Amino acid sequence: MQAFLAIVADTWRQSKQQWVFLILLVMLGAVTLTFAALTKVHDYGDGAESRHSQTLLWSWQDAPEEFSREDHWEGVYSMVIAKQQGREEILRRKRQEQQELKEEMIALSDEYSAAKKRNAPEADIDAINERAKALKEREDALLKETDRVNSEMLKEARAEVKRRSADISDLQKALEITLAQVTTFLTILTMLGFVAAASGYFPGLIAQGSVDSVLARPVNRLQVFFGKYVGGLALISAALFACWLALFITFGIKTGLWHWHFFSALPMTLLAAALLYAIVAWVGLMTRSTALSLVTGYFFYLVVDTAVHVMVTQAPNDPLFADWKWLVTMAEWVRYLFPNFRLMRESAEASVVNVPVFEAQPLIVAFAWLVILLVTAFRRFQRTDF
Amino acid sequence: MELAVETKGLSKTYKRGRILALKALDLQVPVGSAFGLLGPNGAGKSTLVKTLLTIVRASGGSATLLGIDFRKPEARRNVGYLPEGHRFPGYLTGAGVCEYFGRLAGLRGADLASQIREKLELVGMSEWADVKVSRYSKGMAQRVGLAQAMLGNPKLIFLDEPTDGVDPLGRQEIREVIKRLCRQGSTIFLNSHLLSEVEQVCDRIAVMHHGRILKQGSVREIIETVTGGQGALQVRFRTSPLDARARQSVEKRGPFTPSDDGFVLNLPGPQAVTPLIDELRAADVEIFAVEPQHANLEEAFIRLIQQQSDQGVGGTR
Repeated sequence: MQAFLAIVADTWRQSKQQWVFLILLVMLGAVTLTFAALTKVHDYGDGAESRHSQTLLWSWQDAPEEFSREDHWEGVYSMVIAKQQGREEILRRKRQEQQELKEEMIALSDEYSAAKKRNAPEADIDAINERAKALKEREDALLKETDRVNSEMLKEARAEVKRRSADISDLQKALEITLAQVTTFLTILTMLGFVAAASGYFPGLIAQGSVDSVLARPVNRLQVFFGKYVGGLALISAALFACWLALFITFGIKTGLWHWHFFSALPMTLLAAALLYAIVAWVGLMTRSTALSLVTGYFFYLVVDTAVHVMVTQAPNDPLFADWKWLVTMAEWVRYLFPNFRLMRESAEASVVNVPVFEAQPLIVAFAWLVILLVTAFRRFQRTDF
Repeated sequence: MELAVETKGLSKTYKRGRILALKALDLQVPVGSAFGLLGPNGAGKSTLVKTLLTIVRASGGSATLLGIDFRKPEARRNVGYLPEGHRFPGYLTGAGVCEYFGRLAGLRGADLASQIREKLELVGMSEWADVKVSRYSKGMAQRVGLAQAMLGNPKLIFLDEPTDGVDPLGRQEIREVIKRLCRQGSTIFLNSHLLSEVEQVCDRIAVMHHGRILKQGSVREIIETVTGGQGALQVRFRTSPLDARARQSVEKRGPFTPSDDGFVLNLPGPQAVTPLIDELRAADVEIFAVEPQHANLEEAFIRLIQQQSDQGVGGTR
């Protein structure tokens, strides 16, 4: 255990010497400070009902914007509720039917052109026109139905939100949405900064002439590998926990509301950081290159993750992708094969807003990736001759 | 005989057996000895040490360190190691390096602090203890490396080219430290290509070539076995110039090599020296010095490697 802790402590010492890590800490601190210091509780006035008497504003604002924080809260909440109602699948099927109708129309149009070309009898042309008319009627009905489902879904979602949030004050809503926003900022910053800081940990550990002295000590490779991994992760965890705690206390004092659910976003954020670190560590161990590790980390987070997110969330629903059925099919697979940091972040935000929805799928995929990456990276470390 | 290191058929192959780095090595290093491992570049010296310390995984055979199976981490509990071409993390100071490796060795608290002070003092690095390793010269880094290897007062210390990059004065100091460790009862396993260094420090040696041990024993045994020097004696005479008669007479006694200040003669044994001196004195030759010439380790080493090359032995591929 002492050897394990020595390696953890060494990773901390290493990080303290990295300017990139210090920049990350400064930025995390700046975001925390900005939200903590530059927000204020605003009173709506004496006439307001107690539940609607207060909200949160930026310190330079005198009155809430047209779309206030509590409106924002309701928007987020109703989107999640709508998702929960499972109507999205109905809408997806409706859009699919629309596409099929469109294809039938095109085929019919071709048939009409061909009939005209060969001077087909008038009766045949009339029959085609009749079929086209029927198709158009079906399409109109379908569009109406889709709109109806859509508005019904939103209406029900809004009603559900109203019902569920009847006892929630505006200040609580404003606080929750503010903390969800700060969660987003902190998560993105952590991901971007941590890749840069952590990309050198493993290549540095296994550098020729460096790892020899460590392995010659009475330690096993499991301790060395996980000491390095846990060391890096513990450091970022400590930094994030400090930010979370500072925000929790500051907003608690400011508003008198102690929003414990804010902490539920922390495990999700840390899982995302752990996964990205595992990717970077894996590349670092396989290639021994800090640069490649860094580039891969950013490529995965910025490019692969965006592509996966677009595929998973847009492809099945957006008519833009309707012509590429293979993409829609692939998106179903991608959802279960690739981790999606954005979905994880959205889940973290949702947990701060305290929506009673738990999306397990991105967590399961991320966790599976984490285990696979760590196991394969460790096996490589264990089998390498240095 | 209690052994600090013992290997039985230890082997290491690379590329699925196509490259043989260690060929079924059998080696014994007695406890308390200063053992030198010699060999040309690529002989497998560092690979052997790394294999014993599990930095490189053995392909076959067995070994023990201080009687414990070398694959177990406990086998390294009483072992220190200074690797060749080490690169300690540049963000650590000299004392930080010692602290890190001391903790890995299981030291803590006041014991760790006092040992760090003591070892850095011993290698002459106390004044530089709080300076970052990245600012050290190679010699200074080597001294700190030696200090960390001594932490925990290990019973067995592997030193891979310990004087590499160190100036002559520093080498002398490091040799003194090694001798002191030997006197304190530690077993030293020294990897070096500096034969004179091994000859000065070690009492036992092994010569390695192409992944196999060619010879092992005491320094004297190896020199005598390899050079065939038992009984024969080479003597250097520093004298006034020999006249023709004297030279003719001397040449009859054995192979003669003239030099600027006298000559070198191969005699059948020590008993032949006195009659020769008498004869030279009788011929009015002034004798300034008579020095027996011993074959040294370098000569024995070169001969041994050449013999192996002539016999076409080895080849790691």
